[in-house]
Amino acid sequence: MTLSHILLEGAMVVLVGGVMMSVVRLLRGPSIADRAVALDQIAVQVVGIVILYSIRVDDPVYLDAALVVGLIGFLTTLAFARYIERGAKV
Amino acid sequence: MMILRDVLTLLLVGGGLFFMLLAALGLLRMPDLFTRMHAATKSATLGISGIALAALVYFGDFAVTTRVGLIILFFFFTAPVGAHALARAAYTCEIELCPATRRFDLAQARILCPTRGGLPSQALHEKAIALARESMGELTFLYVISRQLVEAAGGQMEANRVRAELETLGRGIVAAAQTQAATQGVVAHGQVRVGDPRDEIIHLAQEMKASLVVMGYPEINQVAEQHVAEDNLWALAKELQDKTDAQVVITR
Repeated sequence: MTLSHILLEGAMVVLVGGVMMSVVRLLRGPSIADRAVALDQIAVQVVGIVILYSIRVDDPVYLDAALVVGLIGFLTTLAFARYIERGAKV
Repeated sequence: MMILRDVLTLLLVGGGLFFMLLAALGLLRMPDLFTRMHAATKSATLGISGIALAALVYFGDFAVTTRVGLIILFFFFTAPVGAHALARAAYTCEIELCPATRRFDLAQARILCPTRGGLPSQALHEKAIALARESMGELTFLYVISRQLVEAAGGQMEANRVRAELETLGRGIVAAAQTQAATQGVVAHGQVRVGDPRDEIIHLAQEMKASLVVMGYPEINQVAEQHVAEDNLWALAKELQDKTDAQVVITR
C-alpha cells in the first residue's frame, strides 16, 4: 500500500462522487433529455473509474473494458436522441 | 525514475479528475438542459483525456499507447456527435429554456409579423410577441389588403366599398394584435396596406430594416390548395432572405 495507491483510490472515490451528482440529475429530470445527458455522464465517469482501476491494479487489460463502456454510453445517447425526436412526450 | 512516473501519472489523474468533477457539478447545478449539456460534454472529454493520458504514462508500452489513443480519439469524436443529436432532439421538442435566456442579445430585433387575423393567427401573434419580449425588440403587425381582391369587384364604386370594408377589418385585426401585445408588456406598431401581399411584406421588411419576419403556416382545409399555399410561403421566405437582411421564422 504505497502513497500513489491511496491517492488513486481517493481519485476513484471522487469520481464516484461525480456519479452520485449525475444520479441526482437522473432522478430529478425534469425532461427525458436531462436524464439522457445524466446517463451519458454516468457512463463517462465509469470509464474514468475503470481506467483508474486499471492503473491501480497495474493491469492494462481493463482499458478495453473502458473502451466498451464508452461505446455503450455513446450508443445509448444516440438511441435516446432518436427516441426523443420521434415524438416521445417530454 | 519510478517516482517521476508516479508523480506525472498522479498529476494527470488530478487534472482529469478536476474536469470530470466540473462536468458532474455543471450537470447538477446548471439551470436548463442546454447549459447542462454544455457543461457536461466538453469538460468530460477533457477529463477522460487526462485520465487516459495518465494510464499512458503509467504503463508506457506500445499496446497501451494504441488503446489510450483509441479511447481519447473515440471520446473526441463521439461526445460532440452524441451531444448534437441529443440537443437537436430536445430542441425539436421545445424544451423549456432558462428564464434568463435572451435571444438576439447583440441587437434589438425589429420584428415584422404579417397577419391575416382570425383564430389560426392567434398562435402566430403569441410567437411574435414572445420573440419581441425575449429580444426586447420592436414589433410591427402588418395587414395587407389584396389589390387583386379589391379590383375583382365590379365597378369603381364597388371597389371603393370593398376596399373601405377590408380596411376597417384590417385595422381591427391589427388593433386586436396590438392589444394582445400590450397585455404582455410589448409595445407593437400596426400597419394596414393595399397591394400585392408578397410585395408589401417585402417592401415593409426593407423599409423598417426588419431583422426577423414571423409568418404563420397556412392552415387550409383543401389538400390541393394546401400545397400551393405552402409553396408560396417557402418562395416568399426565400425572397425575403434574398432581398432583406431578415431571418424568417415560420410558425404553426
